[in-house]
Amino acid sequence: MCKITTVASQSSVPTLPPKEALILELLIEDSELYGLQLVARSKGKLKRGTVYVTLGRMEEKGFITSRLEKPPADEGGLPRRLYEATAYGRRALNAYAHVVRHLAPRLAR
Amino acid sequence: MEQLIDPAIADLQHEHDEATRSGHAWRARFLRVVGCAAVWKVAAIAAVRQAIVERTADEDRTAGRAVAFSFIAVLVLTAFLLLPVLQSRVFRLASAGTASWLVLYSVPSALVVTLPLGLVFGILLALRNRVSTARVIWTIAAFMILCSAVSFITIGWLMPATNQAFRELAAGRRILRGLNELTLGELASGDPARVMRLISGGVTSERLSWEFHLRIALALAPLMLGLFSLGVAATWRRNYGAVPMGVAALTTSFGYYSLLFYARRDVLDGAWLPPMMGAWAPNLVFIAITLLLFHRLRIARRESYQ
Repeated sequence: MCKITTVASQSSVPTLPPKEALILELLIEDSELYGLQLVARSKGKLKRGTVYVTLGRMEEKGFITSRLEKPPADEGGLPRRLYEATAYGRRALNAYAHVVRHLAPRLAR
Repeated sequence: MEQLIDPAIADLQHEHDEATRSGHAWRARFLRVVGCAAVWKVAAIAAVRQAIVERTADEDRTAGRAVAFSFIAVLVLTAFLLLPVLQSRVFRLASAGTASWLVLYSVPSALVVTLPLGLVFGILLALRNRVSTARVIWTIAAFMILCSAVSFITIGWLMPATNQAFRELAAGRRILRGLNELTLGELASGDPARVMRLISGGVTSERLSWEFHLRIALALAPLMLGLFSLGVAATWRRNYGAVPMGVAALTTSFGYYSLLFYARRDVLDGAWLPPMMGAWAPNLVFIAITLLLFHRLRIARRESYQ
């Protein structure tokens, strides 16, 4: 007998917009980065006013994870947040890269 | 919220401190300005996201109630204001087709009055026995801004056109326009000689100025009276009966239009009030009371936390 299991609805399928793909690429290259380091390395593709919102959304999706750095004892202020790509994020980026490399040229024909 | 704003502030602090330590004072100042703008942008995006995306079902219901009740109140009040048209001699003598056009042409003029009043009744009724959280207030405020935009288009362009169509249909011939039939763009010229070529009768520059500012002030009335209603509902802390609600709504409506009536009389009689001040006076009075209500509410909340 055929058993119907849960099928992911269209809205539950995670999407990977170009900006999120870029962040994942940068995080895979450098392991751990701060928000402003991502802005600097993106060469103008990421903006300091929106990068934190994108990072927050990516963390909700499970593409990245973050931790607070240990603040030096002599300095005040808030500790910075370091971001890192998760295994799920790496897989999502691979799938995205595959689509860009193989499927997009065929669809464009 | 902390997940978004704290990292932005922390990065800004570090970037600024590094520039200061390395002796780049101007770069540090520049980074502070750019960083502050970025933090504000993050805060604004986070606030909008929280208001729109992260609402609870209860907040959705409350905001939905406010929109629905306002819509019903606007419909009822518009029907009530159209009664004199339905009882008029022109309407009774007209054919069925003409009569329906007469009613349709009267709707924009009625909406100018019923939109702000409908919001007052709708909001006060909807927030009875409901918690008005910041998200609910922001959602209703967005709805009020939308109503004001609709009112602006109606009062500026739609109402003059339908008023003129009504007059010509009722008269059965082409007639010259009056001041009420001029669009906002035509009133904006402020030149009596130019306007007198378009309308029947004379007009002074004070009268033109009054009409122009009145139109804009009335377009903002849904926002002003809506905010006032939110302030009243929040101050009463949702525990109010139908009678106080009705009294508050009627007092608000009566107060607003009485102020406008007295201001109009003063301006047109050439007394001390300048036309612009006269037209904006009711809005200014209501926004001042609203600010006072929210200020008192803030103090009361702060005291309850202590």
